[in-house]
Amino acid sequence: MLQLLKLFGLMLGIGSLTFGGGYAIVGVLQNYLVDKLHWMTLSEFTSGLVIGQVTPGPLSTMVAYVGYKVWGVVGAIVATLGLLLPSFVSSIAIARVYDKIRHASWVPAITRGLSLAIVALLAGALATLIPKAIALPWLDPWTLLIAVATFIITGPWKKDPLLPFLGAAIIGALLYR
Amino acid sequence: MSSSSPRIPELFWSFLRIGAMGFGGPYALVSLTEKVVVARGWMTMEEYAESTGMASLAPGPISSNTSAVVGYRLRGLPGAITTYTAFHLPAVVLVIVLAAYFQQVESLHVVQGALKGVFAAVVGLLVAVGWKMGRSLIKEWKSGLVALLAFVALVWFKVNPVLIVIGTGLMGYLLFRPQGRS
Repeated sequence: MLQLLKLFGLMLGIGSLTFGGGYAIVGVLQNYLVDKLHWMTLSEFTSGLVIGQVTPGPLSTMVAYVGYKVWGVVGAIVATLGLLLPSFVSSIAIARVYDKIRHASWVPAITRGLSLAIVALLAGALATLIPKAIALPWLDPWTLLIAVATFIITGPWKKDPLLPFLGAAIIGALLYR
Repeated sequence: MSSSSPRIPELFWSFLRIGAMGFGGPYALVSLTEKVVVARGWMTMEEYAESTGMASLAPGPISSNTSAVVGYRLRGLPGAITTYTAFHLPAVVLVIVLAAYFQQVESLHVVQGALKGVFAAVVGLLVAVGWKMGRSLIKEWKSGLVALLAFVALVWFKVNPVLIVIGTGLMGYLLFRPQGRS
């Protein structure tokens, strides 16, 4: 029981202090769980990371794996709630503050600036993803085909990405296993 | 809350679907959410982009935060609880199942192959959504300048995304203030 509380407290702390999500959280998690607390071995942690990568959703949901190793299904739920509680509460707080101040004359200028960040962040994600995708066996034609087909289907054709994702998964499973 | 706000069950199912097919990292998730929220007319592109900006200011994964902000803006606190829960449910259930039944990660190799395919699709999706967002948000040189500076700071100088968002907010204040409006 004490360990469960400790798990919740640790996740709450990590969840409130890691901005930027994903790999930032993973680094801090590994530092605490493997190096400081010895709750799991590095190889266990790595398995958890792989599970986090092969499951959908944010990588941070791998803390469910950490929680499971410590205290079964209850531990998985406690760890996830602990990690995500600060994210939920502060997101709501920000949205509420925005609701209160949005009619002030200086607010639209700021939110217009804020809205441009996502364009840069998406372009930045592409700047790291594209070289990775190309570097497989130097411009794999399948990679190119999947990327271009998905672009056409979800972009100009305005269709849902589900079918291209499924097709890409099947091609990937057959080609790269 | 606009009149076209979706009802709670609709919010639940659409975010469950986003959570279930959300492979490929934070910006793939943000793009998948755009494909639902903006494409179905629940929010304008500006409102959605603003929401992602607010989401990046909170701790935790940007995609998680985005689901909370979007849910809150569409349907208040019940909406936020719905979108947030639905968004994480598939991942958490799958992680627990895998943690319980997969002792050797080697058996996940086929899945990892499938994911390489999906990553290629994610590149296509990001180009599509990024292009669409850029075209509707960058209307004149000032917004182009803000986006460009943010991009250079991010890719060239590896500035933390939170600082990027704060920076774009500041630049927005300086460039788009009422008296400076073009």
